[in-house]
Amino acid sequence: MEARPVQRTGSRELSNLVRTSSIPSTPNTSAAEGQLMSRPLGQTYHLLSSSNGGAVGHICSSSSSGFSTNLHYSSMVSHEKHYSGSSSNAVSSNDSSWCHDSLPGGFLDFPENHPAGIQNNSQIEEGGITEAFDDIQKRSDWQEWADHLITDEDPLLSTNWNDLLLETSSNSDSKEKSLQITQPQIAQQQPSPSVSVELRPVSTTSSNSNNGTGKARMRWTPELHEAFVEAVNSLGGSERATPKGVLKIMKVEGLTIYHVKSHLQKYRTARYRPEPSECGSPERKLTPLEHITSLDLKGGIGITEALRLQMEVQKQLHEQLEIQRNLQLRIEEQGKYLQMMFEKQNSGLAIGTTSTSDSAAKSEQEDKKAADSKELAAEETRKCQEEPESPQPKRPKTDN
Amino acid sequence: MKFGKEFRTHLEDTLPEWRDKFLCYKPLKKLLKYYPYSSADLSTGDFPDQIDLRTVFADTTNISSSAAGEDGVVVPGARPTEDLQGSFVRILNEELEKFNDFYVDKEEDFVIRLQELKERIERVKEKNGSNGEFASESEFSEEMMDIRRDLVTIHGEMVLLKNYSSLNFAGLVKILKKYDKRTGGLLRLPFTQVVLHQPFFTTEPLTRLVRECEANLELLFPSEAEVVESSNTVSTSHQNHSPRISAETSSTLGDENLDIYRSTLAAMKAIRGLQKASSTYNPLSFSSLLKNEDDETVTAENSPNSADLQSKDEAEKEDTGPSH
Repeated sequence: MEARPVQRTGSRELSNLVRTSSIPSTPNTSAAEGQLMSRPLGQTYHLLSSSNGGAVGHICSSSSSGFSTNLHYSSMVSHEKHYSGSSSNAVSSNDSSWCHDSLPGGFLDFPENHPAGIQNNSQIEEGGITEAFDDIQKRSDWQEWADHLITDEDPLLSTNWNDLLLETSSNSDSKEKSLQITQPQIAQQQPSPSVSVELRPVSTTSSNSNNGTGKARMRWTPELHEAFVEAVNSLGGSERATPKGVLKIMKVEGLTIYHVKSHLQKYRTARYRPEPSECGSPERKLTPLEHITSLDLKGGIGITEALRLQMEVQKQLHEQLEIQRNLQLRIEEQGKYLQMMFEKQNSGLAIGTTSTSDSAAKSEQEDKKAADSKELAAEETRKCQEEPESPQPKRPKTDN
Repeated sequence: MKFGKEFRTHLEDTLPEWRDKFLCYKPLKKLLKYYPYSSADLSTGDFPDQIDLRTVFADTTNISSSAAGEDGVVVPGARPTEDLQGSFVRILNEELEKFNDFYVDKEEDFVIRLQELKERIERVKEKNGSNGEFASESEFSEEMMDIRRDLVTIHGEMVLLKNYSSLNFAGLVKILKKYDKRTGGLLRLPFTQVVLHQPFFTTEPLTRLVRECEANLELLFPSEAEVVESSNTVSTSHQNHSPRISAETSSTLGDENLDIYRSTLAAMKAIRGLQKASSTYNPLSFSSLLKNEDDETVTAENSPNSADLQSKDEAEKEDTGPSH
C-alpha cells in the first residue's frame, strides 16, 4: 500500500551491482535438493517486508509448506536478507521498500557466501535473481536514497560502515581503522561499491572470503543439523565421531572444522543429559507423578494444567511478539520512506527556494503514511485477535 | 524514560543468565546526557564537572567484557581522538556483536534440543506401539509428561529469545533516536538499516521452530482432553491461575519452568508497556499504530476510528493474559 512510489526505474547502481556479482554464473551444485523455485524467496521475504497479518512466521511456514521440505526454506532463511527485495513482487502488492537495502548487498554477497549446508543455494539464487532483476529496476531510486544516507565522502568512511556491520570475514581487518565518522553528508559518492560491501550480512559464513580465523558466525538450521546428525550417526555415534570426519561427510561449503567442533560439543551435551535420566532413575520420575495425584486429590493444579497454562501464556506472548515485530519493521519502513521523500524534495529544490513547502509536504506525507500504517496495523492486530488460539488456521499446512 | 523503566523492570524479572546480554540502555543514555561534553573531552579532565565514564559503565559488565579484547580494559572515553559519535558507534557495534553471539548460540541450542525431543518422541512412540515395552500405562504417561514438559520449556525459552531480540531492537532504535535528537546527528536511519539485517533480528528460523513446537504439542497433547478433565479450573479467570501456578508449580514443574513462566509474564508486561502512549506524540509509535488497544490511551486521534476498532478491542481483551 504505501511504498508504491518506490517502484520506479533508473536502476544504474543496482544493475551494476548485480552485474558485477557473478551470480548468474554460479553453478548448480545441488541437483539432489530438487527444484527449488524462487517463490519461497519472495514469501520468505515477505516476512521482512510488510505482512498481511500479524504473524510473519505464518507466512513463512505457509510458503514453505508449499514445497516438499522445509529444507530449502530454512536454508533460505539465512539468505532472506540477501534476497530481500528479490522476489517481493511475487508476494506483494505490499511494499517492500524496507527490504531493498539488503538487495545489493545480498547480491554481491551471494556468490561469495556459501552459507554452510546450503547446497541448493545456487538454485535459490537463480530463481531469486531473475525476479530480483525485475525488482532492481523498480527499486533503484530507493537505493539511491539509501546510498545517500549510508555513504560518506570517501572509501575510508565507507569502511567504517563495514565496521558497523561487524564483518568478521575478509573485512575484519577494517576493524582496526578508526571510526572517524563525521556527520554523514549527503553526497553522491561511489554508492554502489560501498553499499554492496557495507550491507554484507554477517549471519552467514562467508566461505572463501573467510579470513580463516573461524570466527565467522554460523547459523545452524534444522536441515543443516539433520545433515550433521546423519553424518555423526554414520560415524558411529556422537562419542565416536570426530569433527574432521563429520566435516568430511557433510561436505558443506563454508563449514569449518571449528563450527563442527563446537556443534558436536553441544550435541554431545544435549544427548548426554537426557540419557542418564531416561535409563537411570525411574524412581525419581515417580515422585512428580505422586505429586500430581496428590495435588489432584487436593483439587489443586496438576502438572497438566500448569503446563497447559504456561503454554497459553507463552503462545500469547509469541503472538504479541509477532505483532510487535511487524510494527517495528513497518515503522522502520515508514521512516525510511519519509526520509527518502524528504531527501528527494531537498534535492529537487536544489535552487533552495521554499523550505516551507518542503516541511509542509513532508508533514503531509508523514500524515498520510501514518494513516496508512495505522490502517495496516489495525488490520493486522484485528486479524491476530480474530484468531486468538493459534495462527495455524492461517497456514495451509503446518510446516512439519 | 518510559522505555527505560519498562526495560529495567523487565531485566529484573527475566531469566537471570540473560540479564547482562541485553542492551546497556541506561549507560548509553547517560553517555548522551553528558553531550556536548564528549567522552574525549571528559577523559582529558578539562571540565570541572567531569564525569568519569568508567563509573557510567562500571555496572554493566557486558560492555567491558565484550570489548575486553580490544585493549584489555575498555573505557569508552579512553580514546582521546574519538568523539562522541565514534565511541557511541563503537559501543553499539560491540552490543550488536554481543547480541548476535548470544542469539545465534541460543538458536543453535534450540535446534539441537528440538531435534532431540522429536527423536525422543519417536522412540517413545515406537516403544509403545510395537511391542508394548512399557511396563505400565503410568510409565508411558510419565515419559510423555516429561516430553511435554520439555517441549513447553523449550517453547518458552524460544519465545523469550524472540522477546530478547525485539526488546533489544526497540532499545537500539530508541537510543539512536535520542542520539540524533541530542547531537543533531544522522545516525539513526543508516544504523537501523544495519541492525535490521543482523542475525539477532532475523528471527524467522526461530519462529519456525516455535511453530513446530506448538504443532507438536497440539498433536501430542490435544487441549480438548484437558478441558474436559479440569473443567472447574478452566472456568476461572486467568487472573486466578497465575498465583496458583507460582505457588504449586515449583513442586510440580521445577524451578526452571517457574523461571520461564515469570520471565514470560515480565515480557508480556514489557510489551504492553511499550504499546502505551508516551508523553511525546509520534505518529509512528506503537501506541499510535495500535491506538485503541488500551482504553487508557484515548486521545483525539483515537476517537474517529474507535467504532471499527471496537470489536478488535473486545477480542483483544479476551485474549489478555494473566499479566493483565
